Amino acid sequence: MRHVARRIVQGLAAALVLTAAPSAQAQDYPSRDITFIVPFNPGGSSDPLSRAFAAQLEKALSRNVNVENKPGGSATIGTNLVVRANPDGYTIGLGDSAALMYQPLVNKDLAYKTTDDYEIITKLADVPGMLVVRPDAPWNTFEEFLADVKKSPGKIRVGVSGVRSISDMVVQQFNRAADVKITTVPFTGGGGEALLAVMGGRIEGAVGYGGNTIAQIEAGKLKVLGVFAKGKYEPVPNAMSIPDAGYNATIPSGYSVIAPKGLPNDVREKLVAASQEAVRSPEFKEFTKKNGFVLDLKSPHEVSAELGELRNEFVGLIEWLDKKSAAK
Amino acid sequence: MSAIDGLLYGLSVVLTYQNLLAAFLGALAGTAIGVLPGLGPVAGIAMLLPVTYSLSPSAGLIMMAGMYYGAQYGGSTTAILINMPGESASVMTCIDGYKLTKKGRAGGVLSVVAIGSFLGGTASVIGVMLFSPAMADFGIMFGPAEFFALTAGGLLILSRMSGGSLAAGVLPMALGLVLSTIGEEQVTAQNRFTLGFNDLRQGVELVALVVGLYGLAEIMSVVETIQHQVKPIRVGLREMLPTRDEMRRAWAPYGRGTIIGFIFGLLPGPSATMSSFASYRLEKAVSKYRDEIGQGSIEGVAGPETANNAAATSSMGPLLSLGIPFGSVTALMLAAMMVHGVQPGPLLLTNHPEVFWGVIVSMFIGNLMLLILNIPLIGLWVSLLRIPHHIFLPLILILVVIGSYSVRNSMLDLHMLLLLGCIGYVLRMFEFQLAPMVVGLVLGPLIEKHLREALFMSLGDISVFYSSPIAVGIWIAVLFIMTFGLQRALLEKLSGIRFKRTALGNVE
Amino acid sequence: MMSASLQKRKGYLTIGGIGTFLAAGYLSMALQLPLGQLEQPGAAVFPLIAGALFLLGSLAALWEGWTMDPAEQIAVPAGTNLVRLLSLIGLLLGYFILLPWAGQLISSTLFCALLMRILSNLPWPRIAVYSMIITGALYVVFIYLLKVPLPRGMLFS
Repeated sequence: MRHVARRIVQGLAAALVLTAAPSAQAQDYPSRDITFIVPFNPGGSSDPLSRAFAAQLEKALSRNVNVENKPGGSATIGTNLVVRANPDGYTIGLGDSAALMYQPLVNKDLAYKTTDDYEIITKLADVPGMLVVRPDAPWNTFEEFLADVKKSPGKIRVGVSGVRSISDMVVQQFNRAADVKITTVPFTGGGGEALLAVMGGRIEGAVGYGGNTIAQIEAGKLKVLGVFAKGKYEPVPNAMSIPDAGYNATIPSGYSVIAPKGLPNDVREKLVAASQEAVRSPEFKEFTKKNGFVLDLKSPHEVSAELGELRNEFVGLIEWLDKKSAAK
Repeated sequence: MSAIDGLLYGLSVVLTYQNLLAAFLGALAGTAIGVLPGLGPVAGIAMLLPVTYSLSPSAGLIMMAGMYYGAQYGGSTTAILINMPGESASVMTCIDGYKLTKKGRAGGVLSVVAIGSFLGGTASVIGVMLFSPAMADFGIMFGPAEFFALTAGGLLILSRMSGGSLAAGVLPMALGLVLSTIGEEQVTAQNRFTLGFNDLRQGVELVALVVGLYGLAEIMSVVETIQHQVKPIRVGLREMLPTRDEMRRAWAPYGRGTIIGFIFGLLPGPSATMSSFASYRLEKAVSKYRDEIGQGSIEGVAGPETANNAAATSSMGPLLSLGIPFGSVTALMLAAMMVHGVQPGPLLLTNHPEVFWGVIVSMFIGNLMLLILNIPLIGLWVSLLRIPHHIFLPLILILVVIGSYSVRNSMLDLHMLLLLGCIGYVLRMFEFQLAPMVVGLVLGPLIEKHLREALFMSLGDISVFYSSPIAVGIWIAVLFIMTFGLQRALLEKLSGIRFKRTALGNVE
Repeated sequence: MMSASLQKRKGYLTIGGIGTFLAAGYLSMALQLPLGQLEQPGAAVFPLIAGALFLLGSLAALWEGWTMDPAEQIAVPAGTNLVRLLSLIGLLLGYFILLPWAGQLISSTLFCALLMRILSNLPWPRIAVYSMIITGALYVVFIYLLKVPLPRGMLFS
């Protein structure tokens, strides 16, 4: 009996050592499963986006891509994990533009500051904000809305997903550009509570994103007055573009794929190629189109430049907001 | 499409091989997820999300719904048997359920719970079917001020859950509130009390608290007193079934639990957990056997367990009819719809009736499956108690660790688990109550959020809190429930009649 | 008997004392946070309420301990019982420290074996077999079949 037990122990120990043997060799990348870290909860719009991308990346690399949710800290906890991971190409993650660019400006304890601290693999998509109001609201166009905002500064309230969240920032960008005062009201919790508050007539409007808001507009429960993006936004083709009307308010909710700094060159090339193949796949295109994401094919270099601009925009906005609250 | 047409159409959707299998597998996996301590419906469904993507949209959603209400069935099992809630909606079940197990009634109680869950779930499906168009508007009636009344009033009512001294209830509750403020707060994304640790920004996880306070603390006391442990007696078939008296006493809590659960399910927030708190408190106030609640009475188990199942079921209503998720589980289901290419929203009923009615009808069938599945399993669960401690404890501890880690994939949660286990052990030794601490952590962030958001919304006008009829109505109800014992005493004095049971310890 | 008893009163006084101390520290930290205005309530508002309640609860514990009958006793672990309890806590702590380094499989097997040794007087070989079966089975179900992402261990990544 003892003898048998010892043999089992020895066998298991041998198996352990074998499975644990180090494997990473650049030329045969990927030789094991890849982890894709999503710095958000499952639920919400960034998780399905990540999973839709991961499914296509799996096909392109012929390896499993396991999605792991590491939520919290305005998406900085998961982002930190990606930045600090082993740069072997087996840990990559979703880069949220606010977590990448805005958070380092207000939080000193992060593992990253600028785009130099991680590798950008590819851009995934942007989601522009939509200004929505009740269907029976007195405004039918954005101009009418703006006229009322000018008439009673600070009295028109727009729901956003948190103070100094992306949706708040885009409204503040508009406040600055048009020199008006729309009051933003935070509705946290992520369950579309701001939309509910608009439908219930508690606030005048809200900034909504993606499929959830589009569905309410299509059902006639909400009316869209304008979109915070240049050009036509396909899901609501008749809505006015606010930046095209001369007000520079364009910050979208943007997503890219990032990896830790220091990937071996061939690994990075393979990853970039496979990621772009995944983003170009008809399945991913279909997914983004259906859920109100705007596909945006950009090289890592272009994404980096775009993020740099975004950072400058944030710096300017924060200064402006601080000056305004100091003046009060 | 009327409700009857919808029902028939839904039946035709569900009665296919793939959808029936999805409902069954979902219910089965849900039961397992519920039974495992630490692994709650959110973590469980998130884990199995990729599996549902390989199914058709309706089959995927039927499976996820099955997991959600299946978890409510399973969550009570470990709460009753080993004083370890399978998930947070079963915290209240620990109090009386475990005491009944010690009295040798484990099998009977588990049957009562299974039947209650079935009744609550089924009644709730009927409600969803009949009222789903109107349901969307119910959620819209509630804004920050109304939710503030509901959550802050709830905290007041629940702060003295089961009698005891002032300190024994208020101190743990305040500790729960304090823990809830650790980390990044949601409204302005400010870091609070993180002491410079970036990981602390994610805050204290409810699962770590519940499993630590109850599960780990219980294991600690078992390990400490291991030599004095008596093996549970062998349970025969007769003990498996509830006695006639137990069933008779369960009916009223079933009814009250169903109504409470159904209403809470239609509101945003952790509705299953909150409805079980509310139901326990209601039983404590109005039940004929209220004096026994807390000492091991069937009412304290039947009410909350019926309520959490009814809430899990009715929370599908707002998701399907409005397309806005009111809790983390329904948010996951929404995400799944998006990946499947089904646009959630008010038009779901028109564009995808097969999803809408399929999910609703599957809940009837799933609940029935769960009842049939769970009654025979009770014998198996009870026999788990007979596994020797040196096998059972390491096994359950590793399970607890896997479960708690998997919620957020965070090592911090494991350290928190250990810390909270020690706190729970000490507090319990000195007869402090643990349930108010869970209540504090659940309600704390909600109270703060609604308080602040209401003020933001009203531009600083505090009349927002008392200008809405619904908020005022809730506050009056809170006042009524809090002074229930006092009213009864007054009534007795005035009428000169002594009621059979006096409201001992119920005057607050 | 391997348990000692302690005046319940002393326990209440200790818990109340620690609570008061923590509440004071918590409140002073809360005061550093922005208070905001009525139309923009800041992050400090709610912690001040929670901290005040915490202080109230701790003072209530002190008061109840002060007025409590000194004859009320509660049992506290002592002797080998205490040793067993402390070793459980120590083992868990060691497990959590080892987990990110050695990974789920190795650290769980070690933890399982050591805990079994504390709880029983089985010989080591049987303990080793049992703990490998337990952790192996859990590994297959959760990590292999359900793909729960658990730490793989830095040693092997």
